[in-house]
Amino acid sequence: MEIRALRADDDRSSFHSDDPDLDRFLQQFAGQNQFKHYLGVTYVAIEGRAILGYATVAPGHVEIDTLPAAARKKLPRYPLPVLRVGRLAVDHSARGQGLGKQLLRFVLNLAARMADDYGCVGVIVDAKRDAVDFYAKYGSIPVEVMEGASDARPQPTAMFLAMRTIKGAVG
Amino acid sequence: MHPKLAVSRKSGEAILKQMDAGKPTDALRDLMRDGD
Repeated sequence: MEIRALRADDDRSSFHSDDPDLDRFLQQFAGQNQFKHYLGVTYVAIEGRAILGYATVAPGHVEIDTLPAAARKKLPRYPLPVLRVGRLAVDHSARGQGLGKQLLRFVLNLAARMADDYGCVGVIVDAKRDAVDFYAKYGSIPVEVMEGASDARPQPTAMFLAMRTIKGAVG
Repeated sequence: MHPKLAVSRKSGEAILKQMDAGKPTDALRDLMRDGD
């Protein structure tokens, strides 16, 4: 099994998680978003030709509504660069094998490289309701979004994990 | 995904706090050190 960027000729039709929205995104939108519009990149966990899981990421930035004065003194007044994880899903055939954790580790390492190369203060994941505890276990905190929330329904919870925390875990 | 995410002041303060003094959980340490 390897995790790598989606390729145009990967067979996405046989992927089935328990979430039709996540399946439809991979099958219908991930390719055009990546190869035509360059909006984000989907990384797939693949074995042979079978996609066992995927995570879709894109760069983004966080702006804080009415930043407190004390914080304003410490930080520049421009937006904070982050890596956004819009979707993460595992095929039902690969459930219980730790693939979600492997995909998350891959994404966090990706963000760490982004931080080293051109800046990234942390990772924002759009966590579906049943995944909030999964991300919280790794230290992600829920944030209240005023603008730029996911269009998915039911609306996922945006959760933040700081680069300092990620780097601290690597040691 | 919308590239811009505007968060509330309260959430912004929590983000800044984690950026300033965040410590990894044991689960995160295990995750990042597990090299499988």
